[in-house]
Amino acid sequence: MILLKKVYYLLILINIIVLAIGYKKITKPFTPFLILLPLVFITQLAGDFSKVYHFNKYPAYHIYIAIELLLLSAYYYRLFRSRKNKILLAACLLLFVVFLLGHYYRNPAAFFEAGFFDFVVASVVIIICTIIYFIEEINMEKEEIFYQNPSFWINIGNLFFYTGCLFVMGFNLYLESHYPSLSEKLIYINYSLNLLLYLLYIKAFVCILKVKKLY
Amino acid sequence: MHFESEEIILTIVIGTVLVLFFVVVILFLYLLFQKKKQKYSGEKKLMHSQFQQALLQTQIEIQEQTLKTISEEIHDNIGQVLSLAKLHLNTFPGSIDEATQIKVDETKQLVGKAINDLRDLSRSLHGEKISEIGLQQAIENELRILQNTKQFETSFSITGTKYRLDPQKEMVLRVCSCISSWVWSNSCSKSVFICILSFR
Repeated sequence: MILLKKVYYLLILINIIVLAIGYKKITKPFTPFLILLPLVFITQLAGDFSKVYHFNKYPAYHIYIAIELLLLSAYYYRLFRSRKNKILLAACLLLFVVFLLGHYYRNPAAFFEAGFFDFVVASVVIIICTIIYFIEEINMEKEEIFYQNPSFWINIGNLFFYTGCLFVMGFNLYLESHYPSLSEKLIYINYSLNLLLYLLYIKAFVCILKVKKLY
Repeated sequence: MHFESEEIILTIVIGTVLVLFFVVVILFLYLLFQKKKQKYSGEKKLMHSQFQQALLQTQIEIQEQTLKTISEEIHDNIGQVLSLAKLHLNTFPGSIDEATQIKVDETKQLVGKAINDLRDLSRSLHGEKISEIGLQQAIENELRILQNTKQFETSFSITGTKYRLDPQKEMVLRVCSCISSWVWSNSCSKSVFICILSFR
């Protein structure tokens, strides 16, 4: 577990370094990642320090999930070509905000608990966005080498991570309260998918370094 | 309790694996579609370029046919009429005054020059003739026309192995012909030197 976590931190750091190197080459859609990746690093550090300094890590996670969805929505909003899809994304985001407010209004304690229902809803929004992206790519008339397109790798990563983590994160509260040891085992799925996600992000950012402008 | 936890693990793991399997299938189909799209696009480009080539070939053929018709018309009609005119001038009665005789002689020379120039023009316009005699001979003819004007000094050399180009490539002479007419009308130079470096 410690090794996995070290690799996880290393991958996030590599992502940040690659982005920093290619800072001038980053096109508009990818700018949200400049905030997102350091935020992941800080949130993860906060989660790990919470065990040492004995404070509740879950509020940080819940805030992170909301910001993550906002940043990824900004990325997808700039990425989508069709106005209809942009409106659909805005509607999904609005529904997420309404759900989040309703959820915490009904159960304020959820903000301090391990339940990641907000992650599940955010995942659904991101999965919808990745599917829309692939449909737009299929319908696009302009010929493009897809494996040189950074968005292709980012979306593959997102699709794998958010679909794969749906079950683990959805049942997290139940598992942590009833079977804590089981929860610790299943979180390996989350870590493995995180590694895949950040590996694919690195590939995407390397593509940005190689190709100056795709949009 | 133990069985219950195993069931939960199985449900979550199988659910996750199933969902990931569907993602892999979707991605596989997407990649397959993209490859087909690229193949189709490549074929479309190839067809377009073949169509453009065929169009160009037709244009060249039409142009060649037009030039051939003009060349034949010059050779068979205008050339014959001028030859007849020269013949008539040659059969002009000798009992004329000196001034008229000088004019007749000058006219004979001018008609003769016109016949020669038209013959050269006819040769250079006839595409099949160029293919027949080859690029070297055709260039030499072009230079001879320039030389005959007595305004230019010309020279021609070939370095390397001599070989015949295929008939289509022999039409490169058209380019030489254009250069020659440009030299004729625009250049202030007095000498024309053409050198062919031949590599196989």
